[in-house]
Amino acid sequence: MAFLLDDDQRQIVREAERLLADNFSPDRLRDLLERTGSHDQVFWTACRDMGWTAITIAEEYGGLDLGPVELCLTAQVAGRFVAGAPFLSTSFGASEALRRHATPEVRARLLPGLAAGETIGAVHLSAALDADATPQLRDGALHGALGPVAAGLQAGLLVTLAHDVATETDVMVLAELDARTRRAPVQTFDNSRGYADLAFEGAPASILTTADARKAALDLLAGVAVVVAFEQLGVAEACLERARAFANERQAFGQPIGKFQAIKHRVAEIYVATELARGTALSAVLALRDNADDLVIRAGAARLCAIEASELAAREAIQTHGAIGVTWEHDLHLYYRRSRALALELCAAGRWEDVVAERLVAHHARDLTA
Amino acid sequence: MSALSPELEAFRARVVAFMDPHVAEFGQAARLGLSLDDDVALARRWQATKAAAGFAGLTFPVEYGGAGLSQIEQVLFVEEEAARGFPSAYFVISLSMPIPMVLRYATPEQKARFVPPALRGEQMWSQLFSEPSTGSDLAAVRTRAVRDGGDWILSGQKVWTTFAQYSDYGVIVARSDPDAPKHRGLTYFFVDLKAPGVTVRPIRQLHGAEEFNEVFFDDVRIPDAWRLGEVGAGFRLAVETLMIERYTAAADETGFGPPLDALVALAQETQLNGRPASQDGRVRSVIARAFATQQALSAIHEKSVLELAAGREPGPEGSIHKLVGARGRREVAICALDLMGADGLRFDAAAHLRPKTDFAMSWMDQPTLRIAGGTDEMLLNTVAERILGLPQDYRPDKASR
Repeated sequence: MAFLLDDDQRQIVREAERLLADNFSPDRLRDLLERTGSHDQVFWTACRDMGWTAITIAEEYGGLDLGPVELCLTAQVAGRFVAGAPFLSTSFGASEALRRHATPEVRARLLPGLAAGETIGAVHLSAALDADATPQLRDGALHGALGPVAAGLQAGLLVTLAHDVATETDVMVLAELDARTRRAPVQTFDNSRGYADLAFEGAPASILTTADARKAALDLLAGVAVVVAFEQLGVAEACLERARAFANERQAFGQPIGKFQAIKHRVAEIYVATELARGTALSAVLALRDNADDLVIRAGAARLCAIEASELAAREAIQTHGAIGVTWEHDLHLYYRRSRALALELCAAGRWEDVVAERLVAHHARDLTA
Repeated sequence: MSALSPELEAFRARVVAFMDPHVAEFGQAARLGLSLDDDVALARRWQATKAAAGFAGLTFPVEYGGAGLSQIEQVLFVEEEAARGFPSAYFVISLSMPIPMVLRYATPEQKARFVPPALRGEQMWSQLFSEPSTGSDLAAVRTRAVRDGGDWILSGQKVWTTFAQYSDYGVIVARSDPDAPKHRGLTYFFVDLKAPGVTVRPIRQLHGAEEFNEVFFDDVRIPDAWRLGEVGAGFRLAVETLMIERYTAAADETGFGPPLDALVALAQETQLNGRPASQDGRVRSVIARAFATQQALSAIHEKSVLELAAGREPGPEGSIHKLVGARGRREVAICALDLMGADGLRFDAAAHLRPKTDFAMSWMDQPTLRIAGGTDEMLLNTVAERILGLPQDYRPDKASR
């Protein structure tokens, strides 16, 4: 599956590039690294002003009713500029859960806030991929702990798996985070992501789905992973561009270092990985847009290639730069940190390898019995 | 936003309707166990069948036996051909490099004489560029072309010439002016490979099969009328030959190896530490990553098809296909052989025609894949220089220019 961007989509990309380039301040991002629990308010204000928070939400709830393609293109541009907050993807997770599973009344109450960016959403769905104990749901209230959760510090809504004490089954729940949830900021190597450990002390929570909650959670996780894959693609593109430019400019031994094959091949390998990531990401976002049956495996492929490309690009861009690349003042460590943070945030590569391989094996087994 | 036009879908339906009745005669199953000679003979019959139905030379002018269509139809056709395992590979070089150059530079009489038999599979053409001391460095050829009245006398040696033993003609680049700078002293001709003085000697490759050849020219006389382009323009025409099909239909995402399904099946049948190997993390990693790579190549291919269908030049990312595919083949083949353990040692030397069904042969053929048609290193250079705009390597051979 593939597609070409139409004029409207290209326009969205151009506008996002212009705006984020104008607002890009590596100094501000560096400053955030030294503060736990802050995010880049300039970036987030830009997202809200541009209506990016509303892209995938239906018009009746104050949204733009565009598809995930438009959100992903925006996330890709945000990745290029080391988005100063994680909310585009985390809020998408919450609004998407509401769209898929909530009643019209709940949607009408909560989606407008997400569309306007007044409410921030978060997801914690790693339990979809392993059998970890989940928080407990008792009498409409959540108990237990989770973390670190991206945007956990700022989120008003959280979607996660919980163990429903009444039915003794796992359910996917929507928790409203108020004073009954304690949030502890977590110091990490990428501090602008709003990471927090959450302790639920009776947070009000409603069940989004009981039937096959784990599958529903994985479908949702896959959708968020597609958006994040585009953000990772943006990280890879930015690092590729910086490595390319430096290899052209920097002179050593009487010539641009890009003339040496050791350098030019390294930069070419970043390009190769980036194009593979782009291919799988495009394929996955179509599956997301079309609610395709194979969304999870396509998202898994996109996630694997996006992790590979963004991490390779960040580390090899640093290597291409030599010593200046490992200084605090240079921007590349922002990308290096972000590439690892995004690799960890939505379940690490090994989990996704299992997701993809399990589906191929099961598919093969079905063919045998068919 | 994504689907092909109704006209193209109708074309694809016509292709499918044409091909399906021929699967029994030409498909993958029919080719199992054939010798190279027999497979080539089958390929000639398939080419003739296509020509009779109007499907040979889809992009070539109608007056020379082609169908006068565009590259998008060609890509769709090759996708369907590859899906059925038809023997089309033997004519790929013939019809995508030498014959298009004949169509561009030869006289109308020459085109009328040479193009139709090539399309019908009656004659095969080779590309004679590489020499023993010059592979990637194309401009360094030493084969001489010396003017003799209205003729040229060719002498020298070419090498790595794919399927020359089955070929009737070839395009060749030779040094016509030894005193000119390296890139300006070459001239481009076509040549009769059955002429007196031409000796074709197959080269046995590491897997035992003979797909490449050495071709010796001992005072081979060719008329000046068989020169293509100006005297001294040979390097430019040689590069043009290699650039003709910037987007060749890359319909095989497995890097030309056995399908990933075969590895999955093997992993389920094989026990590792008391459970199916398909549950082992190392094996799952290989399977998952190979799938991801195939997804990526497939998406890149489909995007190129859409660009062609929209009348645009495909993006340059298609050029990574061979590099990535060859790497994928290595990972998948080695994982499969490892799972077989000592049984992986079993080797059928006659399987060289089917690296797509045989893991040992796929592994055996992998080093060739990394080199043939542009080495990994040259492909990375191309990506870096042509796509990313990095400077050329240090090139002392160009210093005098």
